[in-house]
Amino acid sequence: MRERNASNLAALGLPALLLLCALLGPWIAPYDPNASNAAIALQPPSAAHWFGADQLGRDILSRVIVATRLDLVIAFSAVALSGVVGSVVGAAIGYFRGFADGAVSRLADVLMAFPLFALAMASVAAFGNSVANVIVVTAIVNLPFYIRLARAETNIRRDVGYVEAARVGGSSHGRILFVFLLPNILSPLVVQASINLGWAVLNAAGLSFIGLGVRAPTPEWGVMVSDGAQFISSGQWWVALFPGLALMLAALGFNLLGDALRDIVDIRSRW
Amino acid sequence: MSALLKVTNLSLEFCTRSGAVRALDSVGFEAREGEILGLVGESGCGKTATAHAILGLLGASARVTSGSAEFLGRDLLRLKPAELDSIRGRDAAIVFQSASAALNPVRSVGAQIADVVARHTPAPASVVREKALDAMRAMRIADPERRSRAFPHELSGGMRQRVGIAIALACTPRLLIADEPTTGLDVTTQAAVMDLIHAMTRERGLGVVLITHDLALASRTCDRIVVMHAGQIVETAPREGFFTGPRHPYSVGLLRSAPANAASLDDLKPIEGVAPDLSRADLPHCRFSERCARRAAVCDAGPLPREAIGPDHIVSCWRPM
Amino acid sequence: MRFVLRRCLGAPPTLAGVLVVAFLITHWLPGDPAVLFASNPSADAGAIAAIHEKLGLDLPLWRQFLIYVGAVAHGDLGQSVVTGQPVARDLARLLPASLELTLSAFALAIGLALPLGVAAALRPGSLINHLCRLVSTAAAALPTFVTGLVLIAVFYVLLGVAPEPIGRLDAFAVAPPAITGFLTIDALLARDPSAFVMAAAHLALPALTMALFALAPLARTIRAAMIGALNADFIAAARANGLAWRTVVFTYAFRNAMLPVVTTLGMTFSYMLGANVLVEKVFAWPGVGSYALDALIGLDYAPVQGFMLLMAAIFVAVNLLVDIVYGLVDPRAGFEADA
Repeated sequence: MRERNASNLAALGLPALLLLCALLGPWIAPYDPNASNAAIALQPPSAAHWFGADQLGRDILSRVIVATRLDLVIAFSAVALSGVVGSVVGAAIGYFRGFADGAVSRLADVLMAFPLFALAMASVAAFGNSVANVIVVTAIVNLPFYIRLARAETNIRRDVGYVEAARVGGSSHGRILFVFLLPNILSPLVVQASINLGWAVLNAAGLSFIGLGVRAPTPEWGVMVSDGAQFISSGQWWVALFPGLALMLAALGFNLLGDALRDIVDIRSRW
Repeated sequence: MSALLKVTNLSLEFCTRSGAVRALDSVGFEAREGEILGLVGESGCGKTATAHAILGLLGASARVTSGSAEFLGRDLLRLKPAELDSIRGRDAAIVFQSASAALNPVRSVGAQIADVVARHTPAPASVVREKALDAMRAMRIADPERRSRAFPHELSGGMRQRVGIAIALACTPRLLIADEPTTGLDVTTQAAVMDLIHAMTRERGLGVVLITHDLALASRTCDRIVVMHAGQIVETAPREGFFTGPRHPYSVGLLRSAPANAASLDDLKPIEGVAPDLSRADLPHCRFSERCARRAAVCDAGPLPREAIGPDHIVSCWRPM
Repeated sequence: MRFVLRRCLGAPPTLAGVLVVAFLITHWLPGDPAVLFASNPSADAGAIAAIHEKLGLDLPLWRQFLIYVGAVAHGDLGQSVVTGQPVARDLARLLPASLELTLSAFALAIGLALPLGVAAALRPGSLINHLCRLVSTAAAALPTFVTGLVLIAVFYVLLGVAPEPIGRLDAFAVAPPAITGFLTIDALLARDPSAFVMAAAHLALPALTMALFALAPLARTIRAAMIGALNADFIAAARANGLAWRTVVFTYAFRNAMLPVVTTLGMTFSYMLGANVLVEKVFAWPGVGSYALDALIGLDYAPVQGFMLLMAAIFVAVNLLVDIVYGLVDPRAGFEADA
């Protein structure tokens, strides 16, 4: 029981902390994240700079805090995009069935075949290296999960009493979909989305680590780890490690949140 | 016909979140060699719990609070798991209600029978295999060699049930507990299955405890009847004595409510009320008293009596009919 | 057999879809596609015009698609500007490195997840169960590239037990004669123990990094599958028949639990293939991932396309394999398909 409480605390606390940093970043950061100061370049963590300084003398703590916003924005946008589009499409094909169902399912299968990084690299080559591009690619790779989930959940509920009643009562298909079905399949979708957030944060950082999307000097966790990687061999671990730690905590927080939400919604998957 | 299994004063509780559920209260009966004992009662009265308690199949939330189950000179309830393992399947066996659920879906039926044989009588593989085929032949399963390679889902319900019984009887046990073995089967298959069990009883002196809620089935096949209600044994009688002259109000009510006994729908008389909630702290001594038309002050006085009112006929009632 | 064929029929449509997507992206690449397919990167205008005609770049889109499919079927994935070699050849040369890494990581992940998941399922509420839970939750939050860097920091910089992360072998070391392309196996085949040790030492940290990543979903699925299997009615029946606990757990429960695990294994492997780009970058591992990454940075797009197509094709193949294995192992699956 004690550890259930501890993990619930973390499930709420970590995302809350992250949101706080994302919203108030620039105001709570002790130093200007972009201000370089050659004199303190590569200084280890100290009382003045809790996370140390990077090769340009910028305060790492400030950069980590400010980076929260960008990473969360990318992750949230990608999940929201794929969640909304995927749910509507999935619900539609689950409801109407027929040819569209088969065609879209096949398309989803095809989309699932592309590993995120491979597809991202190829799209960046074709459409340019921008944050928007990265968000769209992440959303696309995620789409099949939401389509499948929404389709399955809609299928189950489609022939249930209140839907039949609405049809007989003369409601249009659109109305049935949006007023009756979508709100009812919301909870499994929300659970899926929150579990997805952790994954999306990790991938946003991973993509920028290899140079896709966000690039230096913008403070973003993946970029910061990439910058700092070269200093590990010479023992200056803090440049890469603190942003990495922030990334882990972010992913952990959202994973726990997703688990907690799933526990509430579906008792069977409890530990 | 000596006593094979003697259950005495068995009481059982389940520990649940909402408190203790006193599933069994002083259950006692005897199963004899070469005889089919029918354990009858409504769904949920504790028949299966009794069977599971005897064979040590209860889950972790169950606690035996008193009683013994003597079998072949030992108390089954006091045995260690390893000792119980060597008895189960060999000297005492159980057939479950749903053979489909009791069989491993990804293992051939022949292999499953062989597993049990090999466990209790280690022998070279060819001998084990032959014994498994023998078990199938005893169940009148045609073409056993081919059938033994089949998987459960490839067989009909009746065939699966025969396989279930074949597994139970493969090591020629002395005692068989059959938990509703014919539920869900069509009438012809029901008859065939019961014939098999009957034949085993006559030919091998097998003692059978047949758990069922189907009184008609019990009247056709059982030598003696034990009636349970809400975890208590209310009446024990030989077949003849029971169906011609039941003495406990509940037994009388049961027989009266059976469709076979009624000339028309109007003659059907259900038993009033429902069985009491067994998680209550204030359960009466006689758990039928709250539904009984013959209830009197004496019924609340003390624990149930066990009155012998005829040869082998025992009633647990202060005011039998 | 019929079942296998039926499953195989399901693959081509997906492959076709993959080709369509790959073609479309190729079509939208900046720059002149003819340059991609030129055998000589600095071909002159006349040669490029000739290629234009050969590739039919003035033809409607769908005909270009057919030409593209034809090219791919012949193994022609274009030319790399950076290496000057056909992309297909580069990929074939570098694929063993990526496969050796992914397969070792996969084996390691299974080797850790299987005992952990099974033990956790057998002892609910115990320390092992908590450990499994911890691993599954925490490991899922680990970013692969950070884990890799941490491992390097600890084992190479701090403890000095791991070799320098500059690839598959030490600098200036000579590789054993290439038979499989898997350095560890080639070293064994050449009876060269020191080469084997060196290759394995270099393989250790990157494989561990990827294995940690796959550990979370695997341990979680194995545990859940085992618990599901142990709760099945036929397990209680097997116990009732007196079968020994060990037989029940391994012959009955474990085999049944492995069915859903096989599906997860397939998905995990495919996902690992995609994630190896990160690990190859951190450890300077010369595989197809870093090849594609270098090409991207060098504005050389044919390798990137080829890489994407290859990964998607492997995904489809692995899924097909998993489906077939599942169908062969589970007697019920084949039955339903034929019914």
